[in-house]
Amino acid sequence: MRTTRVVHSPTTSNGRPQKALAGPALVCALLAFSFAFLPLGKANAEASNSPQTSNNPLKQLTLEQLGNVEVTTVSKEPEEVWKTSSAVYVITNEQIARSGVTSIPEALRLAPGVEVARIDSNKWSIGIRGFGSRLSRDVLVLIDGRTVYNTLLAGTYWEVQNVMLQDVDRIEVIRGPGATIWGPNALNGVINIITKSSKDTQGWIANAGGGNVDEGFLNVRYGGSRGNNFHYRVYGLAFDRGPEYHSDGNNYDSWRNIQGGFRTDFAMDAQNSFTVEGDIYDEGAGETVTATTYAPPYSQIFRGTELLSGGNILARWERVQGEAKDFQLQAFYDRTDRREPNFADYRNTVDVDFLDRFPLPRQEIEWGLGARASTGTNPTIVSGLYFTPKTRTDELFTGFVQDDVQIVPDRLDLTLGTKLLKTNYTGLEFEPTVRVLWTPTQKQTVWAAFTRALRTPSDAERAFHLLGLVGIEPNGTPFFARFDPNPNFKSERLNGYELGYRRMLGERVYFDLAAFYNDYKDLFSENLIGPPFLEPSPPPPHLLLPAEFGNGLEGTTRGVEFAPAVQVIKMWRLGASYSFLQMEIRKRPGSLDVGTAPIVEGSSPRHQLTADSWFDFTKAFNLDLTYRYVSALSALKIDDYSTADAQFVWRLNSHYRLSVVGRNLLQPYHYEFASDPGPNVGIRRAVYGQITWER
Amino acid sequence: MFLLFLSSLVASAQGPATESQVKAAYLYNFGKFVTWPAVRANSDSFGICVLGKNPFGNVLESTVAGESMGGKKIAVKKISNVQEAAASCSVLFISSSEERRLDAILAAAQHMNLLTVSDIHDFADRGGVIGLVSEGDRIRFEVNLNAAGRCHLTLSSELLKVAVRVIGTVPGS
Repeated sequence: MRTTRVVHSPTTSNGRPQKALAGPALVCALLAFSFAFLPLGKANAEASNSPQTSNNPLKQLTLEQLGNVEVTTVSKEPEEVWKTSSAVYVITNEQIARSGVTSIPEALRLAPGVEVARIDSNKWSIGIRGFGSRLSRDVLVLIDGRTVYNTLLAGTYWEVQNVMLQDVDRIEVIRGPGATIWGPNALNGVINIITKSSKDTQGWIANAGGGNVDEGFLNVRYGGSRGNNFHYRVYGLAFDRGPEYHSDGNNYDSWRNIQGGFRTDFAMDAQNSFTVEGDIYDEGAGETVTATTYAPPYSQIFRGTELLSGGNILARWERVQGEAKDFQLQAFYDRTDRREPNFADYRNTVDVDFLDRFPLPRQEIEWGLGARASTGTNPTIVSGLYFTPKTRTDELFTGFVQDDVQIVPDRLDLTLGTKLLKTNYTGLEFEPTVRVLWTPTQKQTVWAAFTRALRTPSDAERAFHLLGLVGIEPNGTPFFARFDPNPNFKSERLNGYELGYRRMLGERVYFDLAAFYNDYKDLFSENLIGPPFLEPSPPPPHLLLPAEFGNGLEGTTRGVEFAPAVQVIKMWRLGASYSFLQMEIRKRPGSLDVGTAPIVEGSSPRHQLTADSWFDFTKAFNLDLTYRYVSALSALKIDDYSTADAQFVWRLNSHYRLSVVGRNLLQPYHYEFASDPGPNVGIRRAVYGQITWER
Repeated sequence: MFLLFLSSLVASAQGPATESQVKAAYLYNFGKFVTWPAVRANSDSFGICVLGKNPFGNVLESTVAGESMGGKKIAVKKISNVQEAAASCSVLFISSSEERRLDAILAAAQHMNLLTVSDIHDFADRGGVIGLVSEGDRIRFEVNLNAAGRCHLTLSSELLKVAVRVIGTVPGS
């Protein structure tokens, strides 16, 4: 819902991976590393408390000399991020460029606490603090304030969320239920993708390249202006990505996309500004699916191409009325068409949001209202997968109010708020939060939060019929199980407890530590609701095991995320993150769940580690390395893996840049997640070259 | 091994300055090249104020700690409203968080005879007195003389010589 930032500043320096150290060994090294710095940190804190200490030798310089001092730009203090009372991590434009990734999901690997597992060339399983899945149903995803969470099957179709990465300002990743200002279904996190203002993307950029997996890609943008107050950009992109590794030779997962879009920013006067932006795309993404039918052959595997197309347009009016006094009004329309070999969704979504903020003495009140209607039509393509009714409108009404109170100015802040929401499947629901932020010195912050959050029911639980073949009886009668809509399915609930600590050690070392304990109730389950019976219709007569999606699981997760970054010297920066996750999911007493708890538990990695190094040999050459380790996914029989990425960049002059990128370099292929029917897909070593021209 | 390597490097690094250090040093130094009208000269401390989200951490405080300007002790104040500047500020640094409100802030500031400084894009062109600008790895500044004149500030020629760009004309010359 909240369309703009928790974090106002694009400047943060957090970090990524490095080279080959065994996972656990590096964990120990990093932990030891943090302790080794504590004494130094203490000295620093004392310094900042004692105003008599003078530690800026530059003040003795003349103006002329000051103008000749070289400054580092990569280690700007992440001021805004670290004064936030939630577990925020900001992936910057530079981090995206340095990592050599070519898609949003791959960029999300850069954030701690996020599990990104590539299923095949065009699909991922993504989760935050556990619960990774193909559609990330507990994570709210927004692109420039436009929610891309789909209420049909609950979640985000990652393969159609493409943006021109060169024009992304930052990706804010909020682990945990976040603040009240975000919309629904931000149960485990929010991913907020923010593109640059068109004022900051003036001129041409063209980027083209290709390699063994990323077979070819082209990104072109032009930004211009009319006078000082009206800026615009238009872009186009296209890519063709080849299949990953298939041990059975069925290379079904190629991916191609053609996309274009624009953004305009108009500052009408000092108070009022308007943004209008839109995109349009046409995609093909190969997949393999199981298609079940009442008639023979009952169950077959289809390989085909998802035909995906759509477009969106968003307009936003922001009005600044004074200090901490502003409002914004936003509306968007989004169309997505999805035609899969066994299923289709043609969807129109309209959304309007209003946000207002005003100050009171030592307080800031923020409140908002929103409404959304999403109408989808789902024609039946195979008889075993259908929705009733075929055309439905999902409605959402939301509101929130939040009060930020300065208990001790610049030292202690209290945030109280609640979100209210109502959908066509729920009554009025409340999602309250209490957050405390303590800033004992300018260089460290401590925060704690309690939040109640929920994930609302979707069409998947309330309007969906899904047939699966169990077997064929000796007399030839087919035996199916079918999930039918469950009118009693209610929201999944979370009580989340969080604690965080951030610290700046001198000007070069920064770290962020967060811990959480989440208590879940009414989690999604797959329930068998009765004994099998003979169902005469639809023909032929068949044995049916009745099933539905329910709220039959509960449990807890706990974990720690640690993300240090070090500007070692001006030309060399190191970053790392380590995430620990322990999930304990169980069947609720009396639940009819078929036994999915161990699968949920065993589909997220317990340990994740990344380390990165950015090294600038000169202004013209840099080498960026990334290492990552992900522990095993026991329920999916996916082994743990380590791999590494590398990028070498050569800036020929201020207009041209050449780079060579290698990803997943440590083995010819490795497995990250279980795939659709058929053998798991290995993620290949990928190498590509690219040229970028800017003017 | 990794640990030892890293910590020794960090301890020994004498790398370049941070942006904050350079900008804070400018804020401290500019006061030496500006003459305020007598009304402003009466206050008992020399206030360097930061309006909006403070980008300096504690670097500005540590830069001016124990220093004085024209016989007055320098004090750093963080303010959230430009009206708070009236009482005790001589130099007003406007944080980039205030970009959207800039025109209103500058209009108010000129009645308070404040030396306005900011790293907001085109600050001097938009009517600020001194704009900090990045030139590659270096931070330099532009001066708007008309803005200085409106604020009744007299700038020394030394300041103008070092500026990368001077906008407007010296009033009365």
